[in-house]
Amino acid sequence: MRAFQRALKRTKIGVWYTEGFHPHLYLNFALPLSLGYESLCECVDFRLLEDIPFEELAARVGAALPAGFGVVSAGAPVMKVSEIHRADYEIAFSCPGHGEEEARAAWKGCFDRPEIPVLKKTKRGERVVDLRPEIEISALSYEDGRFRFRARLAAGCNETVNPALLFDAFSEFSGLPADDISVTRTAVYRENGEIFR
Amino acid sequence: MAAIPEKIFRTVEKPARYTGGELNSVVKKKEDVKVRFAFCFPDLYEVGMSHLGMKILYSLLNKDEEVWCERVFAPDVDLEKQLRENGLPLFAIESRDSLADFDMIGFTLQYELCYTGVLNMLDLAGVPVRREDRKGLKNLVVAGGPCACNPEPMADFIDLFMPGEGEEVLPEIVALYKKAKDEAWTKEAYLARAARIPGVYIPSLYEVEYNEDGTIRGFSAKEGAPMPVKKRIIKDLDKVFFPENFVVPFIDIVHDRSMLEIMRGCVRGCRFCQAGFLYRPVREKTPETLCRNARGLCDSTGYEELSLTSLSTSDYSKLEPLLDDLLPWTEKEYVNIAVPSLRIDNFSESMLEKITKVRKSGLTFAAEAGTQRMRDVINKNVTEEDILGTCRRAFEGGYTSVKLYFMIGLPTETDEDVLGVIDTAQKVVDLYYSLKDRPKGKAVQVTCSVASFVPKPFTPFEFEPQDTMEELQRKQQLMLHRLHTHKISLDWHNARTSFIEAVFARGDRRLGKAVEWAWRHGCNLDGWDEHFKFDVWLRAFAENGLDPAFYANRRRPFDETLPWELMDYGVSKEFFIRENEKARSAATTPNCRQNCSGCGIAALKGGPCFE
Repeated sequence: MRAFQRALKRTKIGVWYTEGFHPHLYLNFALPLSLGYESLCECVDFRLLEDIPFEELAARVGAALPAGFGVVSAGAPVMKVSEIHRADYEIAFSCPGHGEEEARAAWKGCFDRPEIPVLKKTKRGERVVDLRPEIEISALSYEDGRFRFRARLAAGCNETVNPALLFDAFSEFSGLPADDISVTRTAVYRENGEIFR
Repeated sequence: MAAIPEKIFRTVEKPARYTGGELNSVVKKKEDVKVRFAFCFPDLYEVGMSHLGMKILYSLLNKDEEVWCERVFAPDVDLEKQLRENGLPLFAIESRDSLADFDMIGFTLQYELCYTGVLNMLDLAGVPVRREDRKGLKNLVVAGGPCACNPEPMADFIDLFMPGEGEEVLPEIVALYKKAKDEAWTKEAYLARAARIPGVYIPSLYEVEYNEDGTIRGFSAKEGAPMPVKKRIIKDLDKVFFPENFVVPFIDIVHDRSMLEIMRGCVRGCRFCQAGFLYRPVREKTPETLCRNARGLCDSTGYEELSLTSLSTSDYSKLEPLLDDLLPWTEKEYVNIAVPSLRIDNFSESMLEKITKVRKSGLTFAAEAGTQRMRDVINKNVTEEDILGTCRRAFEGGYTSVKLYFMIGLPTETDEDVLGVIDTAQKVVDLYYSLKDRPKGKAVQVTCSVASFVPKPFTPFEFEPQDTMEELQRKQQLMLHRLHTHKISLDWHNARTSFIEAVFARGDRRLGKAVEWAWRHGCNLDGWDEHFKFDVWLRAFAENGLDPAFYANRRRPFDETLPWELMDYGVSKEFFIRENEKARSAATTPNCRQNCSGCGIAALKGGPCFE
């Protein structure tokens, strides 16, 4: 957020500031990403005060961002943030102290259940949710001591499943640890399966 | 790179403290440089990254293509645990190479409680902490910062100190290092040659003798090393190097904004204030230079706040013209101007209006003491009228809260002076409710932040005993019992922390043993209350035959040789004695602009401070 605000500031492109005692450059990230995750597809809204071609906007903001950040494209908003329904992730983890077969069996045991209850902690308190209807996950592959899989998880205002929740469910069910977890978000969709824009 | 596995960063809090990649951070190829310099700040990233001196010297060293300066901060306990458990070294942010890979390791010593942190950082990279155990030229450990004015407690660990201002001397010692590396000098040869650079103190070239009562008999210098060592100053501050950009962190840090140093030094001569004497003489930058620097910084960082820093910003003679130059564009670009360190006696309405144009920030004033007699003893030269007048203007300008700084434990202090702190705050509260134009329907909040006085070297109070911890704690309770309203909130420093600070501020070489013992027994990050281990410190002194009260609570006669007399900061001991005597009779000294008091700094400057 801060990195993006400052980059926009450096471009000197006219953008809208909030009004009031503490004016700030208004930015809205559609689906904020958790700390430590990577993403190939973040959407951020802000309001322009000048006419500027989208290609130029993308190029100038991209050039102002710190190394490692890039702009994929710029355009007028097509959908509402509230339409976000699902997000795709590529996830890797290791299961230290346990062999491949043992971990695979535990994983299968956890996620093949008809109901996958897990305790979800939010600002509003704790509740048990069933992950079953909210997730689709691919089979595990295994390489160099780490498992990899793809997951399509609920996202948006109705229900959001953070990838960390999968590992909470896994460890609680099997008693096995999950370590060295890396997560990359690869796409965000609305309910009809279209890419969110 | 990649010596530190990525997964380590996923397991610690605020990984952006360590992962680097920030805008404007400098990455070079190590094959292309002659000298690798690790700029170490012995505290957490958020504190170190807020330090202007580090930003200046980082940019300055990296201007040289043959030098790569990187940043290293003290890891928080979670990362330290990970590093130690996995046998990984403390690393520099830019390259993630071990601190042990660096030619020169530089520490800035900003406060005494960071001393154990220095040892811990060296040890985390496997660099021996004692200077005599580092045999070669590589891993030369150098240090600067305000604590270099009395470097003796750290003399066992640091190879080379730079008392005074660093912008000139640091490139000089790095240039000499290049030559030494090219010609394969020994460490001893380098140090002997470096001792000839003005403003360089090499502890191994000095010996200290003691009297039977533990006081210092005298010093001797070897190999023609200078005695005393004169601090370095920048003669023309307006032309000194200033960075075009700052490294912009991803996470929130203590001072997350553009900072401009508008002047160095202070005209006031408050008798408790070490910075006021260490940074003499007063030198100002011109509004043109500052405006240009401000523009450059805001453009290159994207910061929306610009802070005008100095020891006493409202004493800058061209403050209003500077604000008039800055405001036209800062307002347009939503850049807020923050003016910290305002004096309570020259804060005008037009200034209040100017600094609240974009966003309103908090107002803090240093009253320092609760009675006029006490303020005269410390030469603060503000009156109760000043305090109330300024608060009135702030309240009329829409503020409903102010913060006031005070100290207790000052020389000659009585209980009446201590209670004066609360009484002064109460008068501010009463003032608010007496105003017709006060913001309607809002309660006032007066925050009193009360520090315990720590006598420091190179001040008129360098001879004074610190109040004992018991006495400071009694005075804190005294204030608490005087307090009858929630509209005043009172916070104070831990007296134990102030005691340890006092021991090291005026300590000598023998204290090195206590620093090392305390660190080996778990002391680190002592400036953080949750890590401060007072009982370990007490044992560290006892185990090494040292009496902390000898350093903290003892009055020094004027003719005693003090450990920091190895250094010459330009202000004479005779001046400090005169000021100490005036303090005893509550006589004030006018500020340097009104009348020169002959402190001695003009000789170092090579001319009078003011025309």
